[in-house]
Amino acid sequence: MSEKPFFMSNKLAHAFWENEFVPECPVYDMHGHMGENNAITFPIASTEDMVVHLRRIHAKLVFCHHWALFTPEFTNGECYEIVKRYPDVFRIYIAVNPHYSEIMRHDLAMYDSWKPLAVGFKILADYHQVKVSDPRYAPVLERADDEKALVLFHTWGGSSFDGPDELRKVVKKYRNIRYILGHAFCGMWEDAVQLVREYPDNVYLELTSLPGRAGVIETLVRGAGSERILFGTDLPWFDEYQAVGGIVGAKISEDDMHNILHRNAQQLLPGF
Amino acid sequence: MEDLAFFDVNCQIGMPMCGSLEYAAGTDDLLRELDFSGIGRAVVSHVNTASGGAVPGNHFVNRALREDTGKRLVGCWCILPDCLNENIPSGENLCREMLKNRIGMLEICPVSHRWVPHRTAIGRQFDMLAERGVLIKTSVQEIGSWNAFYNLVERFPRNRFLITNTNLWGCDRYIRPLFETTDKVYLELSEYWVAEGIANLVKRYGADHILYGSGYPYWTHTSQMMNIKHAQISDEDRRKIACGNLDQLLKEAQL
Repeated sequence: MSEKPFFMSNKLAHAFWENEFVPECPVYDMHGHMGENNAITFPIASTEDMVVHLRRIHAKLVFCHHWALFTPEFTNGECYEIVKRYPDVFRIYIAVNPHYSEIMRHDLAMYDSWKPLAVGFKILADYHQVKVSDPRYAPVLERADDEKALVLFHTWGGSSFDGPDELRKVVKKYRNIRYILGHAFCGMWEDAVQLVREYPDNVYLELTSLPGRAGVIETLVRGAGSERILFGTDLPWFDEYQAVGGIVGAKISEDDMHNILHRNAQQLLPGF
Repeated sequence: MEDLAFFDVNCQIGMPMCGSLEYAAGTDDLLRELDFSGIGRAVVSHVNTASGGAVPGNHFVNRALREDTGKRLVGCWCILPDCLNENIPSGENLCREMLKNRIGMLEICPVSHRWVPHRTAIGRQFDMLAERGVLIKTSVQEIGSWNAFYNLVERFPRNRFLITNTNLWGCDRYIRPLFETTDKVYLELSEYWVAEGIANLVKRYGADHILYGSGYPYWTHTSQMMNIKHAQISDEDRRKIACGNLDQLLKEAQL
C-alpha cells in the first residue's frame, strides 16, 4: 500500500484504533434506546449490558426506552428510575405518544421533578403515524419551546410524518426548541443541510444509522458544518465502535470529529 | 494485536448508474480508496452488474483486474443460466476462464436479471460449482428476500453461498437458523451493525462463517473495520473474519 491508512495518518483515528477508549474524546451518543424490540434480536438490550458496552468506549447515552415508545403502559417514570441508577452514563428523553394525551399531561407535570436526568422529549412520528405538525403534539412542543428544551425527532427522507416539509412547519412555529433531527432526514441530505442553514441557532443534525454510509458524513459536514452535527447510534441497534469508525474514518478534519463525537453535545448538556 | 490485514469480500468498482456520493470509477481510484482505509486486498465486482447486466459487469471487472498490476484485486463474475448462451463461459470452461482471469468467486442477481434460481434453470452449473467449492455471492435484494435465500440454500445444499447486504435493521432472526442447520452459508458484514453482534455470533457459532465486507461504494470500509477491531473475540477469530476465512475459501476453490 502506498499511503498511510486512516488509522495511521489521523491522530484521533489512531487513538481509537489502538485503544478501546480515548480519554480526550469521550463519546456522547445523543440517540439511543433500551429494551427488546419487535423487529430485531439484540445481543445487548438490558440496562446492565448497555452500561458495560458504553463504559468500554467511555460513552454517555441519551436514550428513550423502546417500551415507552411502543408500549404506552411502560411509563417514563420507570425510565427515570433506570437512569437514576446510572447518572454518570445515562440521560433520558421523555417518550411522547400523541395517542395518549393523559399520559402526556402526566409526564409534563412530572418533567420538572425528572430533571436534570430527563433532558427533553422524543417524538417518533413515523411509527405513531401522526404528523409532527399535528396539534396533538402541541402541549409538549409548547413546553419545550418555553424551556428551550431538547426534542429529538425521528426524521426520515420522504416521510409524510416527519420529513423535511413537516419539520419545517414545526421549526418555523416553535423558534426556541433545540431540535435534534434524528437520522438527518435519511437520504435527503440537501434538505437536512438547508434546514440547518435556515435555522442555524437551534437545529442539529443527528447521525444515527449514517456513519458507514459512504460520503454522507462529509456531505453533512461540508453543508451544515460540524458544529451542528451530533453523534448517535440507536444503541442497542448499532455498535458504538461501528459508528465511531464511520466518524474517524470520514474525510473530515479532526476538529470536526471532536465536534461531532463530544463537543457539541457537551455544550447542550452541561454537567453531563 | 499486530498486523490485522483486511481482505474485503464485497467491494464494487465503477460509476453507479444512478450516481452516488462516493465511487471508484477506475482501478487507480479504487486502490487509492483501499489505501486510505488500510485494506490490503479486495474481491471486486462491478457496481452496475445488477442494473446494467452480467456481461458488461464482467467486462469491466476484467478491465479492472488487468489494470491492477499489483494484484491486490480478485474478481467476482456474475453468471446466468447457461442455456441462454450469453457471453459468459460455462461448464468446465467457466473454471478455466476464472483461473485465467483471476476470478475467485461468482455472484448471481436473479431478481434484476429476471431468472429463477431453481434447479431447472441453473442446477447443472451449481452442481459443478459445488464440486469445485466455488463461493457464490448474492445479496438479500438480488435474491429477492430471505425466504428466497432459504429456498436457494435448501435447493442447493452442497453449494457455498455468501449472503451480503443483509439490512442494517437486524438479520439475526434470518441468519441464525441457517447457521444452526448448514455449514455452507457465509455472512458478509457490511450491514451487520448490531451492538456487540459480532462477538455474540462468534460465541455461538464460531468465526469461520463470518467475513469482512465493506459494501463499497455505498458503505465505507472504515466503520466495520473499527467494529471488528474492537469486537470482544480472540485475535485468531478477528483475523479469520478480517481476511483468513476469505483466503481459505478462495484457496479451497478448485478452478
